[in-house]
Amino acid sequence: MTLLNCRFHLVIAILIASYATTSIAQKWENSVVRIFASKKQIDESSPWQYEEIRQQTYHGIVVEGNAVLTTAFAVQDAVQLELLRFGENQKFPLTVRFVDYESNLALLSPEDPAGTAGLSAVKFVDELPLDSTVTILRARDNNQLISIAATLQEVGIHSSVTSEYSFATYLLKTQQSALGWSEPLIRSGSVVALGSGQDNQFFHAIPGSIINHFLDDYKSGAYKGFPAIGIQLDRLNSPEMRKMIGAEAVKDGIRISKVEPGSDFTTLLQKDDVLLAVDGVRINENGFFNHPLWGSVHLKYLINRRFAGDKVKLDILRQGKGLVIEGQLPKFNSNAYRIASFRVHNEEPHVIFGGFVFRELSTPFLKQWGSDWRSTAPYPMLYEYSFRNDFVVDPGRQRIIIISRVLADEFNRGYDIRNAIVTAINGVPVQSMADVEAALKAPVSRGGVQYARIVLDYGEGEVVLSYDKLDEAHKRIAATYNVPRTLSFFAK
Amino acid sequence: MANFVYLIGDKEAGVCFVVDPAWDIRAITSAAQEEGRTMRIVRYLIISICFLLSFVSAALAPEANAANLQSLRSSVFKIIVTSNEPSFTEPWKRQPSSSSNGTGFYIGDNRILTNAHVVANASYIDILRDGDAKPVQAFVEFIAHDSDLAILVPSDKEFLKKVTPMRFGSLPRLRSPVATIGFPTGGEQVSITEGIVSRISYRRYVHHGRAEHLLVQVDSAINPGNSGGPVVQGMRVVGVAFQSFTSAENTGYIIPNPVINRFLKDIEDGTYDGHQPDGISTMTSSLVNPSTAAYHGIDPGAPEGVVVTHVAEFAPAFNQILRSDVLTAIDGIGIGVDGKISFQGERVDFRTVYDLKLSGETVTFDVNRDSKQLKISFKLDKLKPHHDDFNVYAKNAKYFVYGGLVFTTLSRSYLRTWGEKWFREAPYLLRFLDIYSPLATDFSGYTDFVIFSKRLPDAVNQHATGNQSSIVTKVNGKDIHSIQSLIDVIEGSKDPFLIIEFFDSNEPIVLATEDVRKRNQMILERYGVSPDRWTAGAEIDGALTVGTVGSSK
Repeated sequence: MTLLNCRFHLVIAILIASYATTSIAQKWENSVVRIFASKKQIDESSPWQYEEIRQQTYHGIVVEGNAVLTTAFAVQDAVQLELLRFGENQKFPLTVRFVDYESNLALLSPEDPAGTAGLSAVKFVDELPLDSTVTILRARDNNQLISIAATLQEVGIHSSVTSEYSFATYLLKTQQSALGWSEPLIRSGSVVALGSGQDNQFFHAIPGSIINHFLDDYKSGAYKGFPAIGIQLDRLNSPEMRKMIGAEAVKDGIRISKVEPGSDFTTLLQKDDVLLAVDGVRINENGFFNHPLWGSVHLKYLINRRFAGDKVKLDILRQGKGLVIEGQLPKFNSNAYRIASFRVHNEEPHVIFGGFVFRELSTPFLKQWGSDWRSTAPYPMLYEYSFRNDFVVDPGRQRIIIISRVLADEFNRGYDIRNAIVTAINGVPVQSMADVEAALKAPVSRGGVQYARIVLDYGEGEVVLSYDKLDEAHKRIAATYNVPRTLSFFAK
Repeated sequence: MANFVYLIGDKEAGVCFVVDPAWDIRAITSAAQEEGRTMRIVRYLIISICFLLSFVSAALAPEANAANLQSLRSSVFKIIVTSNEPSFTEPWKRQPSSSSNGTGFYIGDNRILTNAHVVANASYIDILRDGDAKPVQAFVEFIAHDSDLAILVPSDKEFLKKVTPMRFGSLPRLRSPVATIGFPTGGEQVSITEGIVSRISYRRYVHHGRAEHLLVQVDSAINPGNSGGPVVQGMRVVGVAFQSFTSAENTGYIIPNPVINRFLKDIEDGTYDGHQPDGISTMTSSLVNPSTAAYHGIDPGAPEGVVVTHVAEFAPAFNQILRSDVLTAIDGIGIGVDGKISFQGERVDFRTVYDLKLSGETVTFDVNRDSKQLKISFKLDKLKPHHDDFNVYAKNAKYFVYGGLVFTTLSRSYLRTWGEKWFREAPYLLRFLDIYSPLATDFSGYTDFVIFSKRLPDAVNQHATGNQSSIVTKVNGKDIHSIQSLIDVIEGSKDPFLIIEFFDSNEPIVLATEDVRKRNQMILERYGVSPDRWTAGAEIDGALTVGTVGSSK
């Protein structure tokens, strides 16, 4: 699910019609603030440097403990965050207290307590009934809050722009476009959700129940995070399939099609098990349960509401035999796949060897191919993304290594390589930047000369370079391509 | 970078001048001897360009003038075709028929040479001589989709009796003028367009979509209708006009004589075997790097050759040529670091030599392996790549319909069903497989990729709604590597269920074997599917060939 979070927000904001009323909104100016973020994004083509600084404006809402809640998307890649209260013009610098990219939520606090002094903290309402009309609060450039009407149409399971974790998300209908900048959603005097994006059909918002989960978890002092069972599910509406796996006796339940490693359930569950109930709640053949306010909702929400480390009880049917399984829910980690979903420290590990830039394949790297990167990125990388992007227990050591480009120099003359996948260096398979550095330190020798031999996948060939004059090449490359960090270069 | 050498001579005196013979003396000598001239080389290091151009045009223009071309007109024919392509989404059906026309010319032996794309999937062919009122029906005798050539024979044996066959010349030189004769759109009469040879290279033939061969670029437009027309230099044919470059004006491509000669030799035994893909991937220019050259035992001072990056398992070179080998020569002709060789005076891809060989002929590579020099020879066999990674012009796409599930195979033609922007809009896995399956290890052993393309709804398959356009990997645990293996497993199954597994999903389709068997015939009849399968490939061509019903030969 790609959300169309518009980069040109500032331009579009000017075009927003001012038909919305300000009366309901005004009283919220005492709890809602504007957040100005200066974003410094890694330059994907030259990972040792950053792209031009971009300014973006988001919304935040004051919560208990002198803190401001916003989306993780708002703080991602930010080097400076500032708070502005409505009707004032002094900005207060913010520090990030805590970010959870999986649930797309972040807690900030002003460096100077005056930043939030006098503002009143809000509480979130857990769940909102379907068809409710809500008010979206949105800041205008004249530093006033306006309200925009919206209706809750559906509760779907979606992942946010910052991770692969999918959780219950409000899908709302509204006339307004260019939304999705952490706007608070209000109903009957309470805050019910936080805006997270907009596609061409719906405005997406993070429900109060997910926000309260995050806030309670944070308040406990030892953040546990959001869990997942670590299974893949497949609809069970074919009577033939039901017969085959011995599930004819029941009409509901969903088939487990894959079990991932790394949790209690890895050994407790098997492919072709039928999941009948989660903590006693019956699951139908499409994986949905009946929620009192939302109607049919995917069972993932039952897991969303639990904390990592909680025990969960699953009713299973295995070849016709009923079983009750209990296990501890593992914390979901988007970066525990071979291709990481987000960068935690806004830094891109890389090694330059003779002008060849080695990196790990990641989702942010793939996103440089634009919003339709899933179709336009280099095919071998997409293939790796779709079919070799396994869940791994030790993600730091099981990445996919690429050469993103060659910084042309006389040392690497003859090689024009771009976006190639590396399988081995000096005879050793490489799966992490640490592997790359270690392998480069063990040259192959031929005729008394030491060489680095880099083997590429998908018929891209191989690179053979001597270590002779490598240091001089690195000096030239650092100067020519303006690579300021000595850390970027391989050193024996 | 190309070098230009000019021969200016006088046939009667038997003398010629070589202007600036800075390069490849042997090729110059043989070129001059081909022209029947004794050699007396006079070296002019500095010569006025103006003088040169006027001299060349004065020497060649009289031969190419309209009066001479007039006599060739009677050997050139307009070809009028009604074609009927199969459907690739519902392969038991045919697409609406369409009509088009092209050009062909008489080459003797009751044969007219034209492009394969002019007559591909032809259900009816007429040929018309310039100035005649009545066309004559013709049939395809041979069709070569890889090199875009075809031979037609008229149904009336007397029709070509008085026609003078056109004679073939040699590979045209760069900058030399040529004339294209044909029936392009925009008029009824024969048209003659003059142009200059601007490039000789080894490039993709678009009709096939994958194969690359030698081709000649001419700076005159080749328009629809020109296709299949002779390109002449003087009175000799030097090529067949066949494709143009849509994004550049006045750029036409012609199939040069070496490719035509290979086609004519290939069919001498009565069957066309086709060009054999070499399956050898190489990396050009890496041996320019002195340390890479030294590693491979190549003199960094005078580097040569290209590094092998991959050898496809279907290729005759498999296990003969290895990854990391350096290919330094093919049949004794030195390969440069750019992968090019000297071929009839031009620099072209070394694959040209391989490509022009017939099935069963031998090729010899000079190879540097681990700093040792070897000579490796092997025969070119007729082998099949992973799948039809090209446009298919067979009578039908390969398919099998069972229980209302339509299975077909991956080909470039199937990908094209996603429309003009198929290379963006077709599922990326199919696009990936089309290009990379020979290079990835996951696809060893596949001869077809079987696709579940469509569901014809019925009670027995009502839950088979997912997995469309996905690749079938297994049925009841058995590997599916061709449409025939799918048929064998499904029809031979004695299991209560048919479990169809797919490459890109964890969700198999499960059908009750007995229920499907009972309803299969009924489903086929309801949707008008007949026959329920087609397993033949290119051996049954889509064009109306000699020997088909209605043919006279």
